[in-house]
Amino acid sequence: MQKFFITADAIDGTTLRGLLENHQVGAIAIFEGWVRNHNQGHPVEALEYQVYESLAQKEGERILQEAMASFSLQAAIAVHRHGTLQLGDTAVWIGTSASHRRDVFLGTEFIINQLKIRLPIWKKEHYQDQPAAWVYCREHHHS
Amino acid sequence: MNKPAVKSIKVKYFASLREQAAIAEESLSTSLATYRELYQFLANQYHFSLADTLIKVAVDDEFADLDDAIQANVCIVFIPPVAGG
Repeated sequence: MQKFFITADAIDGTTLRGLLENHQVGAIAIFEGWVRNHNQGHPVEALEYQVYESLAQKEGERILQEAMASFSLQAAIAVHRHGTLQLGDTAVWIGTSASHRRDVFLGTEFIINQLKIRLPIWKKEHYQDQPAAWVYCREHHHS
Repeated sequence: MNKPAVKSIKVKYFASLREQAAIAEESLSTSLATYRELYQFLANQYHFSLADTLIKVAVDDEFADLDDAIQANVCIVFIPPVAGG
């Protein structure tokens, strides 16, 4: 089972986690990416994510397919927020299940790494001490 | 020598490109050859701060190459460096 969502609503990790639970599963890994209050020394007040939704949906599904094929996962779920997020909000939620822990650790890390590099999603940081700015990792863009 | 064909296209903008162009999308007619040439033309028009070396392109909701030939009647999205997660 694999599911990829993009949503403007708050992410409900409890409900998502329930989708992973069954008696064939020996391991579940969950990763939550949170909005933190600082970046590169500047205090952050809020984040704004903008998404090119039709391509992001396709690319997200492709990443989960690749994870399912590369690791022995029974399920892979990923959700990414868009819109305006406040400190402490979950921006991205990833859950995987498998028979053994190695697959969920590796599979979950693969998914978050690929989402960060490949999803057409942009992040604008709103700071306390300087004008808001679109941020990105240059070294990731062409990897 | 034949004149280059004029193609009708739609361009959508996101993130910093949307702010600098001050529009979300527009319909254009162009005789430019490649998506890179089109980006350079638009970057000059709208004073985009990002060089074409930092940009990717999607055509009709699939990734394409900036040096591909522009097709007629497609929707083009220039993709600034991403920052998901």
